[in-house]
Amino acid sequence: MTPGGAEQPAGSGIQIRPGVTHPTLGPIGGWQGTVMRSFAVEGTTYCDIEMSPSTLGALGTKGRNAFYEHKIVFTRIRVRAGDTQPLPAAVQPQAQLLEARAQHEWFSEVGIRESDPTKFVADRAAGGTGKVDMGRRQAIRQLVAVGGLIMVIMISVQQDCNCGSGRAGYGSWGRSGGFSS
Amino acid sequence: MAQRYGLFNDARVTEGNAAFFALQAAVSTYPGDPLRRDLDALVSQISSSSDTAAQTALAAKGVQLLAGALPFIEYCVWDYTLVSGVAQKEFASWVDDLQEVAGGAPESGDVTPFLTDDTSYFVVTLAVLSSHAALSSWLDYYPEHLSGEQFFERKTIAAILKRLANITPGPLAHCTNAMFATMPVSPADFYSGKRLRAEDWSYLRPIY
Repeated sequence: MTPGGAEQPAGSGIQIRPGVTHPTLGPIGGWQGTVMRSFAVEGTTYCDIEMSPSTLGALGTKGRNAFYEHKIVFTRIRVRAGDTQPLPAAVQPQAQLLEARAQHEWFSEVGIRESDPTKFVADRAAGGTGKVDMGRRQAIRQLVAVGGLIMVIMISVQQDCNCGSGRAGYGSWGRSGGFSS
Repeated sequence: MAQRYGLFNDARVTEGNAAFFALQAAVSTYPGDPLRRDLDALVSQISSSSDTAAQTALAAKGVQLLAGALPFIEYCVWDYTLVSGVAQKEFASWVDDLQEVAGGAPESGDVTPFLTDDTSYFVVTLAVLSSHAALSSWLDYYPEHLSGEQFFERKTIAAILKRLANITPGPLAHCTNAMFATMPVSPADFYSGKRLRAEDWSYLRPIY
């Protein structure tokens, strides 16, 4: 990599110089993107870049999946400014930072196979007893399901007995799925 | 060296029907990053000797700063529960873990100097335990209705941060137990992406 380089204004389009290799991403020469910010540390200027959809697309499904599998963020990268060059005006990206569909791809390839991370600490706190998960959203949903069943039975009974009490409602669901009449 | 966590209340528990929410975000950064400096300053002002309104305002300000850095959040996790007993356990677990990490010297290999050829990160954490309806009603309204695919979309993180940054009305209103922390302890230290993808941080999800 080449040190130095001038700070790039946010929103400008740049391209990684040919032959540049990133320690995590591998060869990134030719990648194009939009500068999110640039800054200098000890005389070297760095750019945080959001990669362009065309660059992400050029990686191909296999290339993107390789990053997804290891949870490597490749849509936004940091490089030395000296390893970049301005894009010709004809291919400048939109000034607005581009949003990729990578999050959806990551979820369908990797995230969907993983446990719900919002349960992680709960599991740990419970010492792996499994009780915490029951106390969380599954339990709430089960309560809702059981409550729904009870409601159906109540409606059925009400219809069957035709009590004629004139009661308009049978109750309402509380914010945590509890049933109150 | 300044303490890198601010705790509203030394107690780990709260009276009443408590709810819990926590968010941890790894933010790309660099030496002298004004975001890190401002967040550290906020953290140092949060203490159990301040009144609740001041603590809440500081935490909300911290979240607001984090929301402004949304494009630089690259890994994140959030967690919540509306079940009081679980909420108390969750909060105690997060606080204990954070105090251990943010209150002591880093383990060997845990942190790195600024990386000159890759992204460097710091980590911001907010953990909240509250028995006030401001938190539980929001949790019941918002994340409960998200699908798994939406959990870690950038717009979801943005929506969460934006909501938490609102004090009145907002989920942090009347909160008496919370922790706001920045890590590593020293602003001269950083986390590498490799470290954040390792087993110790495996619960973090990439934010593309």
